[in-house]
Amino acid sequence: MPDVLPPNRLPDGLLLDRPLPIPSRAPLLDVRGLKKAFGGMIAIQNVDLSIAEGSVHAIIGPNGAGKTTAFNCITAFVPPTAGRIFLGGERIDGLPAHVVARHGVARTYQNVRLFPNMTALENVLVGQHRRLHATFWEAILGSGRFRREEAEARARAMEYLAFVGIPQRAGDLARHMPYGDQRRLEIARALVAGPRILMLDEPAAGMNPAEGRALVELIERIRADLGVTVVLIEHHMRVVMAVAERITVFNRGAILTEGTPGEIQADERVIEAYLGRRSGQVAAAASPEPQRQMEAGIA
Amino acid sequence: MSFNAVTSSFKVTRRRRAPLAETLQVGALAGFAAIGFALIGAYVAMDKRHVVEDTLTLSQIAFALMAIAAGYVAGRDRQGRPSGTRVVVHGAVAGLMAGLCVSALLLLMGSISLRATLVAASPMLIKALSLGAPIGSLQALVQLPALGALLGVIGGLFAAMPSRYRRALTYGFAAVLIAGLFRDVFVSVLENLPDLNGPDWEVFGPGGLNRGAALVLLVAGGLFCLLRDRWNARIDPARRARSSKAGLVLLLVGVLVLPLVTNDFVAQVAMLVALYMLMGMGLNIELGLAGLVDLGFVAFFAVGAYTVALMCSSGPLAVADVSFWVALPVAVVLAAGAGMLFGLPVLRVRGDYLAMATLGLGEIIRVLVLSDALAPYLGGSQGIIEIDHPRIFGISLQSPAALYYLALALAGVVAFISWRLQHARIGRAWLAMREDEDVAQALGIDPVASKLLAYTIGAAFAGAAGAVFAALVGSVYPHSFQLLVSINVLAILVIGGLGSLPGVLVGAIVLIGLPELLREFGEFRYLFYGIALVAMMHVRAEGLWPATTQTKENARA
Repeated sequence: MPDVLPPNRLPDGLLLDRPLPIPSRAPLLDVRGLKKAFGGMIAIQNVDLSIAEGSVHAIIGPNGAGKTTAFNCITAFVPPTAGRIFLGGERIDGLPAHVVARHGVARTYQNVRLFPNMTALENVLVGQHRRLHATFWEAILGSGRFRREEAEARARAMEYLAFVGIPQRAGDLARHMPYGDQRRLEIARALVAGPRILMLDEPAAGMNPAEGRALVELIERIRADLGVTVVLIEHHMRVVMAVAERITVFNRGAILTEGTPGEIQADERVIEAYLGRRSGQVAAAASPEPQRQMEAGIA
Repeated sequence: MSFNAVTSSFKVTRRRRAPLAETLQVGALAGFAAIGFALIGAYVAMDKRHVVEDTLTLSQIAFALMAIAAGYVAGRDRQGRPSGTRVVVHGAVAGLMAGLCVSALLLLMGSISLRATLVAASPMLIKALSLGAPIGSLQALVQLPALGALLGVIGGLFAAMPSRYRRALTYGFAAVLIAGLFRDVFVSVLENLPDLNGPDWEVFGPGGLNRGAALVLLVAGGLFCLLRDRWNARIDPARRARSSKAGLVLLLVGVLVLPLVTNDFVAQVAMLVALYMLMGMGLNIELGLAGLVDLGFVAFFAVGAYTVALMCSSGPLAVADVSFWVALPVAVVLAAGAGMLFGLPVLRVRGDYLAMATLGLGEIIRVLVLSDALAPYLGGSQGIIEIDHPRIFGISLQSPAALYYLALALAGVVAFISWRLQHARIGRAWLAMREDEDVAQALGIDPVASKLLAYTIGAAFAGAAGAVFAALVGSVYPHSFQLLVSINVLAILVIGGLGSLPGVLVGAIVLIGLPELLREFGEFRYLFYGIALVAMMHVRAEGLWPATTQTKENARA
C-alpha cells in the first residue's frame, strides 16, 4: 500500500491504516428526502444528496438556505424531522452523534470550534479518541500497550499537524493560534481518526486569496493522499470551482440544482438565487419545479 | 497575594477628579475601613494577638496596612506611576485623613456611649485605640492622624521604590507576619528540634515573635527575594520551570514531615487537610476534568463513612466486624456504585441544572440516614459509634499523626490515579467534554458514558475519604455530611485551580488548614476569609496553582 503513496508525505504509513479506496462512483453518503423543521419553521425539505466515494463535493447557496442544517442533520447534531441518511449503504440517521462519528463521519464548524484551552497537539489527540483502545486499568497501571499506544498517538498527531501545515504549533493553546491555523487544526483534528467522509463548513471563510489557494491544495491532498471523501459548504466561488467535482446548490431550504462546476456556472437560476430575482416571469418560466419547492420551503 | 495586587483594585474604581480631592477620598476610604474594622469588634479581638512580642499586635498591623495602602494609592499619578513630591504630600494627606477618621471615632466614643447599638464600641476599644496615651487626652487624639500621615508617606515611598525592592519588602514583611501569626505551629516544631539557638536566645515569646527574631526574619525574607530575583534573571525559563518543580518537591517534603515535628493539634489539622485533599481529588475528576458541577458530593463521602462504620464498629449496629483494610475496598466500591446509580438519572442534564440535581441527591442521602425508617440500621441522629481504629502489623493507628499518614497515603494513591487518567484517552475526553460537549461528541466521545465514568471515579475517591473519616473519628453522625462539606470541596478546587492536582493540595491547606489554625479569631476569620476569596477571584481567578497548560502558556506570553 505505501508504494502508491508519495514517500515524502507518508514516511512510515502511520497516516493511513487502510487501503486507499478505489475511486468508484457509488454513493458513499446518500441522503433521501431529508427534512428539518424547528417548530413551525421548515429549515430544509426534500433534500436528496448523493456524494460519490472519493469525490470532492461542494454545497453552495445563499445565507439561510439550509446548508449547515443539512450538515447538522447528517452528523446528528440535530435530529432530522424526516428522511433517511445512508453511509456506505448503512443507515445512520437516528444514531447518536458519537456513533455517527464512529461510522466515519468527521466535520468542522462554520465558526471554528476547537477546544480552546487545550494545545494543538491535545486537540488532535482528542480527535483520535475512537482509534485508541487502552482500557482504564491499563492507563492507571501504565501498561506497555498503553504507553505504546500513547507514543503512537502522539506521533500520529504530529504527522497530521504536519499534514495540514502547522507542525510548529503543536504546543500552543488553540485559543492563542491565528485564525487560519485554527481552521487547519480543526481539519487535522477531524482527519486524525481516519474518517471516510470529511464535512467542511465554510473552510475558506475569512481567508485571503493565498490562503484560499493553500486550502484548495490541502483539500486535494486530503482526497488524493488520504482517500477521504470531502463535502464542503463554501461561499468562496474561486475555491469551490477549483476544488469541487460536483456542486449542489441550496436555496430556501431545498435543492435548487446540482451539477459540475461548468454546469452550475452556466445556470441562470443559480445566479438568480444569489443575486435576487430579475423578473418573476422569467424565473418562473425557467424553473417551475424548484420554484414550487422553494415556496413550499418557506410556507 | 501581593500588596500591589490588592491596591490595584482601587485604581480601577478611581474616578477622575482634582488630585487633592481624590487623595482625600482615598484617605477617607481607608479611614472608614478602619472604623468598620474597629466597630465590628475585630480590632479588640485581634489586639490580643501579638505578632511581634510587646511591639505590634495583629490589629495594629491591620490599621497600619490600611494607612499604607491609602498612601500607596494616593502616591501614584493617574497613570499609576509614582511621581516626585506627590509621593510625600499626597501620601501624607491620605494617611492623615485616615487617621482623622479614626480619631473622630475615638472622640465620638468618648463623648457619647455607642454601646447600646454597637456592642464593640467598648472601653476596651477606646483604650486600645489610645495606644497607651491617657484615655481622652489630646495626645490620644493627635497621635493617630500623625501616625497615619507617617504611614501614608511610607506607603507613598513604597509606591515610588523600584519594584524589586518593593517585592523584597513585601516578602520580608510576609515572613514576619506568617511567623507571628502561626506562632504555635512554629513553636511546636522548634520544641521538637534540637536546640540550635542556644538556651538564651528564643525566637518566640509567649505571644508572638521576639523583636530580634522579627528583624532577622524581615531582613532574611527581603534578601531571599532579592537573591531569587537575581537568580531567576540569570537563568533560562526551562530551568525556572524546574525550580517550580523544586517548589512542589519542597511542599511535598514539608507535608510528609510536618506531623512528626509538631504537636497533636497540628497533626489533627493536617489530617483534616489530607482528608479534604482526598475528596478534592475526587471532585477534581468530576469538576476539574469533566466539568460536572456536583453539589451532592458529600453523599458519596457519607456512603464510604457509613460502610466502614457498619463493618468495623464494635457497637450494636454493626453488621460485620472486620478490619478496616477489608472495609475500605468495600466502601470504595459501594460509593462508586452509588455514584453510577445516581449518575444515570442526573448526567443527562447540563450545567446549572446538573448542580441543582446533584444538590438534591446530596440532601436525599442525608435525610435518608436521618429518617426513622433507616434508624434501626444506621442509628438515625445517634449515629454509629465505637468504630475500631485501623491496625497495621498489629499496631493500632490511633495517634493523629498515624491517621494523617493513612489519609496522606490514600491521597497519594488517588493523586497518582488521577494523574495517570488525566494524561490518557479518557482524561483527554473529559477535558474535551468540559470545553465543548457537542464537538467532543462529534469526535466519537460518548458523552453519557464518559461523564458516568468521571462521576463514578469521583464518587469512589469520595468513598475512600469517607472511609478514612469514619476510621479516624471513630464515629459517624448524619450531621457530619452537610451541604457545607460539598461546598468546601468545591471551593478548594476553585481556590487551588480547577483541574490541577497540586492546586488541590494548596487549596486544602489554605481553605481547611488555615481556618483551623486561626481558630482563636472565632467568627472573624470567616469574615476576612470571605474578603480574601472575593479579592482572590479578582486577582487570580485561575487559582493559586493553576493547571499546567495554562501556566506554560502564560510563561511564554
